Amino acid sequence: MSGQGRFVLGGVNALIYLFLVAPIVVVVIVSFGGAAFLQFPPKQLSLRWYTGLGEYPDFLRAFWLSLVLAAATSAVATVIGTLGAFAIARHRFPGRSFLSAMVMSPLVLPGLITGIALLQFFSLFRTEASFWRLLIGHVVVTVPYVVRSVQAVLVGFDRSLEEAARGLGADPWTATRLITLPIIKPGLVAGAVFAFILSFDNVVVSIFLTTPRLVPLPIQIYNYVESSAKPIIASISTLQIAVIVILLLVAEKLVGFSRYYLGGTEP
Amino acid sequence: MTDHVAAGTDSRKALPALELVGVRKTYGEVAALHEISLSVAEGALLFLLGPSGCGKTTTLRIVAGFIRQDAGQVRIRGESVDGVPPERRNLGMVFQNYALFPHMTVFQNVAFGLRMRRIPADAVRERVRRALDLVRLGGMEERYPRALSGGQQQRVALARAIVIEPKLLLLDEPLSNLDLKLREEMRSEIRALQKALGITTIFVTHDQEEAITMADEIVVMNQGRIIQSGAPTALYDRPANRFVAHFIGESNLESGKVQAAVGPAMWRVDAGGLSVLATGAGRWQPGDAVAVAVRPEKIRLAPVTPGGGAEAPNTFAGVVEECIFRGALRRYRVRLRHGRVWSVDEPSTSGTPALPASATVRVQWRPEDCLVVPDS
Repeated sequence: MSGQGRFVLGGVNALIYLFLVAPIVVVVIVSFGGAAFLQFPPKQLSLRWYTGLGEYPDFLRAFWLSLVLAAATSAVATVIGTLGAFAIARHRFPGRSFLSAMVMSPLVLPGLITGIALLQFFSLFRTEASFWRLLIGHVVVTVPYVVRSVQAVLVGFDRSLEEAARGLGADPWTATRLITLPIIKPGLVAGAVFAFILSFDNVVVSIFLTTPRLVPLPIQIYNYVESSAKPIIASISTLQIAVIVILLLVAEKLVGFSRYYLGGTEP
Repeated sequence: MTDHVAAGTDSRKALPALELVGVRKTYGEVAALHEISLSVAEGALLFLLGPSGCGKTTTLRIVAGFIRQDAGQVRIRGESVDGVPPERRNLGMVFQNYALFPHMTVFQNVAFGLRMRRIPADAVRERVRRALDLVRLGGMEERYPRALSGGQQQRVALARAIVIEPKLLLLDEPLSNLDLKLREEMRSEIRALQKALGITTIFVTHDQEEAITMADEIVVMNQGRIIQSGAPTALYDRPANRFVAHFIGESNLESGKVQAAVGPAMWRVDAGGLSVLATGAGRWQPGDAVAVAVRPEKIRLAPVTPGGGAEAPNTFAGVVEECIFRGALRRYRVRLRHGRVWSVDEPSTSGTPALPASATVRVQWRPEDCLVVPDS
């Protein structure tokens, strides 16, 4: 009876994984097709949609823009989000729960609404369409993820470690730098990776803030598929996936999420 | 500057290592400490002892600089440290959970305080080695805390605190996470280390046995106040009130009323139906509510002898309820005439059989072993 249940459960699990991963696998396979249109399974294999990327400068420019934008977003959001998480996790101040709710709001509100709000905000101040507008927009939607992941590690952090460092002669900043930050590093890296990935494939906020000269990759792809079905879409998407996979591997190497020992001492 | 220090050397000898003067701390409506004052001599091992919530840890954390008192002054070697942050007080602290840095090796943990003092690497290595030898952890330098046993972690924490040659060593319930056997070993080890280094030490605990076996001086605290302080033997033999008599060691305690003064520091007390002779330095009037306390080992048991002569004072009939074998001691639980059960300890001398349950006995103790104390 239980053996049967286990079998059914395993089957359902396998189906769910298949459903999650299959579209991505299809895109990767299609990108190695030799035909001039999207074809699955491809009749012949070829690298022409990779070697020929140079013929699509719009895509290359969009790819670079998204890469730089995601890196900058990740850096800025990690700093702001970490500071916010410390404030919310460690201090009782007037407006704390309001701040906490505000930080959460981009998580709950549809991104579309955030995008429209940002557009209105920027036109109110008549700022020029620029990289900075995109960066600010992306930071706004990614900060909550950093706050959440840093808050999670701060909650489990044993503050007597900081006191021990203070007692041994470390000023508050030195204690934070040498003790707290290294110990909560997994949360920081997770937040930074989240922010990068969310920015790298963001459409709903970007779409309100792009200009003809500043088109992030997801928007470029989106615009392109409306009029064409060339496998260039698949190859550029595969590169996008590759960037994210490499990032995750580096992050794992950096902190070893799987084996990192969190917290103070054994109970 | 140099002259000043040189001139100060002699007077420093006389200065207490630590002084608290009228230190008060309240959290909202709740007073954690009511005007605590105490003074610790250089080189002493002082215990702050009390039940949880008595203010002992708050006191320690005020000394360490982690909490700021609302009123009063903390002086270390005669100098006020009010407003001095913890990192500039030069105190060594051991936390209940040890607070070892999990991402650093044993060496890096112990070296941390020396690195903060910008001591050259050679000297750091030498001093860390010596500190680890002192706590018998030589050769463990490259281990991480998680790879150590509880007892070893405790030693690392101790080494980390003493390697900086602190003015005071502050220990916050350092032994309470260890098992009994190890705890007893560490007691004598910590005391030996403290005496060898001569570091003035404040040891916070709720374990009275720990305090009486290790301390030079014990400060008993309850509800944010100091109840009594003194040497362990003084507290054991002359508890100031019912709380101390109950908290330090074991006592048979009985509430009662003073009947009359019968001699210098000698009183007749009606203790819940027992008319006892007891000693006490207080000035009482007949009718005052007091408590009498008798240590279990001060009481003697004898079989009832028919037609015995004149009875000594404080002799009562009782019935043995049970006898508990405790190795070197036998603990009798005896129901006395007034209905209450007292504890009586006798050495388990080989040869004499234990009294059986429901045996009728005579219970007797000397008036000078029976203390009258305030009933609080």
